[in-house]
Amino acid sequence: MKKLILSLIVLAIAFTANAQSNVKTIGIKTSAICEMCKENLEKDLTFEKGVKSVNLDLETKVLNIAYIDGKTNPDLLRKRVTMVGYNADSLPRDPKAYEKLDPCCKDGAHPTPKKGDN
Amino acid sequence: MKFLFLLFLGLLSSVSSFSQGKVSGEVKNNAQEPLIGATIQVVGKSNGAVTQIDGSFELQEILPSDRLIFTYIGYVSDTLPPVFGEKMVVNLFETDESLQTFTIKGRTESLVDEAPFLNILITEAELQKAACCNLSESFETNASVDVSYADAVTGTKMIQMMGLDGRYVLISREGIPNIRGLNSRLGLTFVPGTWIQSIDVGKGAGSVINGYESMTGQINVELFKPETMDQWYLNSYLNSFGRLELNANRQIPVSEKWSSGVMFHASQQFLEMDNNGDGFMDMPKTRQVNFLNRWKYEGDQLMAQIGFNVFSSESAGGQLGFGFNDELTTSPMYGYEMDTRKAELFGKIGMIYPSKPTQSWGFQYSMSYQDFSGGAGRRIYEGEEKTLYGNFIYQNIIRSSFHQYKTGLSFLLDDFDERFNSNQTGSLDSTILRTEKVPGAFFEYNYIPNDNFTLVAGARTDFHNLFGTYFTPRIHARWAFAPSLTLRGSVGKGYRTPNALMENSMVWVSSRDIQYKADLQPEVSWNSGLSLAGSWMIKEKPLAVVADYFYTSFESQLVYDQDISSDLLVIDNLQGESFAKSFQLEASYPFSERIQAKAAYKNYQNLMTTNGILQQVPYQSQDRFFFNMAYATRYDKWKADLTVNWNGPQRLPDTSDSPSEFMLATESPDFFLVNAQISRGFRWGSIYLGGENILDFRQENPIVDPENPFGENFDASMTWGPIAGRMVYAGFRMKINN
Repeated sequence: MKKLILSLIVLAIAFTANAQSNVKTIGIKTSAICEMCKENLEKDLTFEKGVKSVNLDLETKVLNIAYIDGKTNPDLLRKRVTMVGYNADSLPRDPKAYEKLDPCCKDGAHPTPKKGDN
Repeated sequence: MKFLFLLFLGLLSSVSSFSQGKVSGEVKNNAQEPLIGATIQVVGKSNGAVTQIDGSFELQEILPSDRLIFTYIGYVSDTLPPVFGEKMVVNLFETDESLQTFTIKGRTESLVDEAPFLNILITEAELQKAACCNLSESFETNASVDVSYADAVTGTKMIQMMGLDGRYVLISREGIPNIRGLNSRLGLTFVPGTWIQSIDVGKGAGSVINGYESMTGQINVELFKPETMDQWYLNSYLNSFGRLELNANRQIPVSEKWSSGVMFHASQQFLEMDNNGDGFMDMPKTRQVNFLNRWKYEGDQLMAQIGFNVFSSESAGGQLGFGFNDELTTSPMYGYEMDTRKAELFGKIGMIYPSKPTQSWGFQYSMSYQDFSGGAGRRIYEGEEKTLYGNFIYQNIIRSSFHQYKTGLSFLLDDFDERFNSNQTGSLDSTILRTEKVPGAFFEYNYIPNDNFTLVAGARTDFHNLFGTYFTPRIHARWAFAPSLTLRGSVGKGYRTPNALMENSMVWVSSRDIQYKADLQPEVSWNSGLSLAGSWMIKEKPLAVVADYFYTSFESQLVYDQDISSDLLVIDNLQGESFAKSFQLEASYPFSERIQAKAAYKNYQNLMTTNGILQQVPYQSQDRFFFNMAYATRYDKWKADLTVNWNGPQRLPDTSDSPSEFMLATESPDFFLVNAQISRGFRWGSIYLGGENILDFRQENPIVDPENPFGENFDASMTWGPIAGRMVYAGFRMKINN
């Protein structure tokens, strides 16, 4: 029992502690407008290679990303944001990805959040 | 919705006044979308309303001094004065977004707050915590359903609820009774885990709508729906015991109103595992192919679906080397075989009326054929079961939505044809033929005066062609008497027809003579229970605690008595008392957004008269502890899970008449079972790695006298713990959309 718990703790620490050294942060201005946009972007970027953490500030529409330098770079991250369907700084969104977005995330949609289906 | 004034059992009455008026309007969210099913209550009075499909509501007999409370789950409640003569438009705002997503995340397994029954919903995310393999393993992270070990040969896992065998639980698939009859022991393994969207575990006598068979509880399995399933869902799983699984679900879009889904499962246990070196496979080799396809039509008023499920499964176990094609009765080896095939057609049809949203009807049906062929050692068995089931349900309200009812008619036909060799020689010389035809009618009344109280009173009468009339009354009540406390109570009767041979398939793997003394009678029980659920905010996070106590007593029971002699299994109707008391205390708490813990203590006093003595049912731990800890990073990129079960000592059947070297202790030792799993999410799905029984606990010598399987002391049925030891597994899940 003790061994097991210990090894799990060690494992958990290993996950959180690796490669802290060359972590950089970036803020990307996006065209996100609602809670669902926030989830779309955060969820997708969470699984992007080299990304440590993601947070979108809906007030400023800035997507803050902590990433491991060397595994990814700002250009790749901006490119990815456009592939989710949103503008990234000066890069325009991918039209196909935009088409697939939920109506509430599109231009002119009601600015209030829409309740997801859980 | 014409009269919302309430008279319940003559307890409440009120004097009308002339200044009362009508109030009508709409409830919307801040995006101006109508909220359906929002409740409106009049403060301090018993009247109220529920919003219709367009968000509209109407209240009668409202005074200008009244205050109306508008509530909707996930939204902030609002209290407003009534407006007469014009439409009230009420906007409700969602509760704090961060809090809300947090609760939803935590709801991987949770008590259904609004349900009058003690219902625990197990979602897909919870099911994925234990990646293997089918319904029999879906309860590993659930405290209310226990998993037990059948025997040392057949590899069957059994479930128990309230300390009673799973055969007393009505297991339905989308409301249609599914795992029952000859299939009650094996059936759980024929519902692949990757087909399951969610499982609803109801403790206590359930609703009368689904029949009289839920004696201790109901487990309803919801499969993935054609209209909402992923376009592709692929899964493969491999474990260190040599089990390989392939699963594929495919959504087939047809048209706007039609949808279709296909689910496929193939699995194989290809290795002969003998971790304890007794010369017997710890579990049989198996091969299973399982296929389900259904079609769904969703019109404006009419909804219909039809589907079919076919599977074929083969098992070969026993002594090492016994193969799928070996003959049981002539092989020099002791073997176990079970081959079964099933074909089932099922469906539903239902109608709603947009002009009368409270009214609807539905009809559920299924017909199936299943055959079995197998046996153990020199015992051979063949069985066939044909089932036809139909259930018509009509739902409406009586004057207001405070009074809802469901009523309907059902029909069940069960045709059994079983053949076996009673004296364990070559031919199938004994036969059990039985046809049950059971038409029935039911009525269930729901009294829902407000959010805090629900009463469900139901009864059904069934006319059994062999056993006469069954009258099944059941009553459930839920009362949220304080903001964070909910009390539930239930009382109900239940019946079932036992199938002595298949339900005792674990005793086939022993030298015990099976003596069948009884004239077949239905099993009859009463179940009653009380539960208290509470939820408190501690450090801004909800600590949820549920305590429940259930008492089941049998009026009539088919008793499988292993205590009379170690050479016998005596099957007889209950002579004396039989009852089960179960107590469970469960608490869950999210320490942070990432870490959630759940712990439970269970105590079962399950006494039955065997060998003339009222004693604890064998193979049943009186005390159990359960602990689960889940860790997940945002969007489930990383997930880790740890489950610990402690099983207290179990009484073992009396073996005092055996030769001393084959005598068992009167009690098993206690033991821990530890499972853990880690998974990593990707955009396309996830990969997982896990271990079961990590401490490698094994029952020592699970088989009595394994060297002489055809001798008179051989017994592989006295199993109380795991046999095969530690298991490691890995797999992936892939979802493809667009």
